[in-house]
Amino acid sequence: MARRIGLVVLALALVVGVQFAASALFTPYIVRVLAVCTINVMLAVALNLVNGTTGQFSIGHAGFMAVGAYAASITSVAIDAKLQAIVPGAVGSALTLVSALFAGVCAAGVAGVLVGVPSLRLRGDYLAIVTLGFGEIIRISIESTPAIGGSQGYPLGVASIPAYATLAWILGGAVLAVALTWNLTYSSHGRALAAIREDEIAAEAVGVDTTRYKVLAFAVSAMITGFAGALYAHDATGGQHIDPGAFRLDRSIDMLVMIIFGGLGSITGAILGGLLVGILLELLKELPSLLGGAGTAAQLLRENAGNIRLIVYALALILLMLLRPQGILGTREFRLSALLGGRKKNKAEGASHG
Amino acid sequence: MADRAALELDNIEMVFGGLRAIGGVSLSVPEGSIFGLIGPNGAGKTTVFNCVTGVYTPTGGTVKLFGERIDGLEPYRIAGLGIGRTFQNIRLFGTLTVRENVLVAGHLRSKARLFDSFFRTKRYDEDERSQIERAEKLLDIFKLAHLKDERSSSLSYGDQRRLEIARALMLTPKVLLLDEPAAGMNSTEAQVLKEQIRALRKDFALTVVLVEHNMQVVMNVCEHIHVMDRGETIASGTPDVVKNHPKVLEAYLGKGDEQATGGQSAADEAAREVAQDGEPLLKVENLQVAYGGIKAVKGISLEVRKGELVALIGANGAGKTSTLKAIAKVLPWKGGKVTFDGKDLTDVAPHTLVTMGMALSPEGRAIFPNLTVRENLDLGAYTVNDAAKIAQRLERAVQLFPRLGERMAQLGGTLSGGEQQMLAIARALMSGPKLVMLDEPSLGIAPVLVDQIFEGIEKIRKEGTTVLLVEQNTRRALAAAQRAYVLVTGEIVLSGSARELRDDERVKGAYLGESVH
Repeated sequence: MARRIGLVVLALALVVGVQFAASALFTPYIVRVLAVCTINVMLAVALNLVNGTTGQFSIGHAGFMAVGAYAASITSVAIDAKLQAIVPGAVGSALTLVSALFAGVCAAGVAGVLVGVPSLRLRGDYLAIVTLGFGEIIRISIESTPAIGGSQGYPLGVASIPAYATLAWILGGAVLAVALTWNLTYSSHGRALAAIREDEIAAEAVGVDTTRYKVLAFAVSAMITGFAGALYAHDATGGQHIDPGAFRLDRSIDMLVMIIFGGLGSITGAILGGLLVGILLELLKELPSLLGGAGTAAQLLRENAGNIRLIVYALALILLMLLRPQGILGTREFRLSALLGGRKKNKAEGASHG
Repeated sequence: MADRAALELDNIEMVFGGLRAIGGVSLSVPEGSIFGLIGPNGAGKTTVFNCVTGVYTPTGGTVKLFGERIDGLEPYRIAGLGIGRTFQNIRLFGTLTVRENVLVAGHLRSKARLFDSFFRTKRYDEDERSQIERAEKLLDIFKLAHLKDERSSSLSYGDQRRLEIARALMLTPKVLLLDEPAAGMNSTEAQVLKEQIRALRKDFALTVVLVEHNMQVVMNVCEHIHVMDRGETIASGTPDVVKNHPKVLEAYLGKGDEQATGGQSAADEAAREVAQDGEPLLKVENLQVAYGGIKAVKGISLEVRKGELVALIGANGAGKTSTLKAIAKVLPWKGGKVTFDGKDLTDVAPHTLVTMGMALSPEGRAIFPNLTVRENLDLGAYTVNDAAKIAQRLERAVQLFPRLGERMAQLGGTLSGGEQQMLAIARALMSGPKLVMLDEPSLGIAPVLVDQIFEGIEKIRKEGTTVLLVEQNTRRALAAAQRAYVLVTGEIVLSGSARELRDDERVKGAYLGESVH
């Protein structure tokens, strides 16, 4: 228990430290990249709970992110001015942000249950198709609802989202999300989820209510994704504006890539994957400016930077899958104690009989 | 114990599509008894288990647990009410550790709520501690404590079986259903199992229901036996009553009284040995296989000549399957040389072996469950482009195993275990191989079907296909084969003509001395 309190204190100190360090040490650009990567970490950890731990297959999580982002933004835009009138200053901003995050989490949680319940009879590819459909339905519904800006994005006109989520908020949110997911995954409830992944019939036979647990996994995962979406919408380094184009299928695919990169089923792997994919995508965005030179070839490259970016990204994925198909960490968790040689490592597949 | 019934089935019926898997089975299991449910393959025993545990909802009849109806409930509820079970083909949570496997089953008795898990409250810590204590006690009883942090998929077969029982007991069940606990065990292990089942009943105040093919175990350990055939009850009573029941004898042994040792005439025997001078089709020299650091096959040399039926026998874990897999190039070699049909296999890719004339019917059958029998067979002929040849081989498959002919349009997964085995063998033959390797064709299969399968195997040999047979049923293997190699912990300890080995006491010694975990 004391150790846990210690960890919480450490995390808080880190968050506060980052807030001070961020403005003092880093350029706004670096702060922006850090914020994006941290949000990626949350997305990856959330998706890993469904795809890695529980063994279901969702490729529609961008939908939950959209629900979280929109619900949170609509809330903050609606209440910010009124709240500021009552409690001005930092406290008012914090109240606005917390209410917005809460709304995002709840809305995404409801969406998670709504998608979870009917789709639980389905497995593998079938479930993937349903979640894919769900993600697209959410995005297209947003695009065709003028009240929330349609394809123009939200909010319309001169209004903007009160972007109160500084790097410290985002980092604090990520610490909270990861800690709760970790606790769930490595608890008796988490064992039930892993049992579903391994063998559903056997899980039922030892008393695991597989339907309830699959809905649980979906709902918790959707809530964290919605939370990340809400933080994304309120990112202080962001554009104070969200548009449905940000929640396309490729967003879901990016999330999938993160957890496969890091190692499906490993939370630390998901964190690593979220960071790496975030950095990789950012570096590739910077590719055009890195291509100097005056020759025709260099110019051609610069003009097609967007396409080259996609090719390099795809190549990186193919390479990783060839060299390390189980992801960077596999199903294992990275532990400091293991690094120091303290704890016995999990043994890999041993001998079979024959 | 009182005469109260722990489990009561009244006129249970289960129909899949048009297929009646069980039709009107009634039975009553007295509390505290060890109850055997037996019958040839395809009798519907596992289906009965699945109806009781809620995997299937019976299409008719009622199931009662201590007088309360449980049919139609979800499996997890039935588990919670006190029915634990194991599975015919072992269903562990492979990537979880041994201890975690057991802990999952403690879930229902857990007092920790979701909130406690999220925030690791004091209640969570206390609950987890008591669960771990209980799980480790069970692992201790099953002599698995030293393996508690290993992945369950890395355990040996026998350990996996025991872990499944430990996991079921973590539920604190009142009734324990064991589906073929002795499958794949040798007689020493089966002996130990009998004692364990009796001890379990006593120590955990259980009622035990057993589906088992090993008659020695069933007759010895059960107080009451219920016999099924083709979905119906054919007899029920004490072991003595059942043993002498004419219908049971017929269902099990087939008509007439052929002995498992087989009774070939001297002439037949002589004819079979003619082929022995043929040239070697398969030659294995000093073959080695290892899993990580564990050497499974430690330098084996053997030879199979054209037209021969050679058996590779040995207890569980001796390395038989690993040897076959290595020959088929499914497993990498750590050393040695294999020559097939005059060609060195060192640099040959596994899939080209089929076109070279080698076919494998793997352990556990590995048929395609969602394809029909016909489609399974067609896939076996994947490398064949001649329609006439395929048609001819299909015909031959049906001649070999007439049962398959009746079931051409049925999905592979709906066949009984024995029928699936026939399909696996027939599929291997569809490529028209020179050498067919059969891995444990009798594993977990009722005696009548084992007879049919072995008849088929001998027919295959007589028609000119060379056979390498891996079996742990020594008597059957030696009755069918011309020569045999005896494998003990990765090494060949004996070899010779099957006839000599049949009477060799050392074979029995090799079997019983080893393989106890």
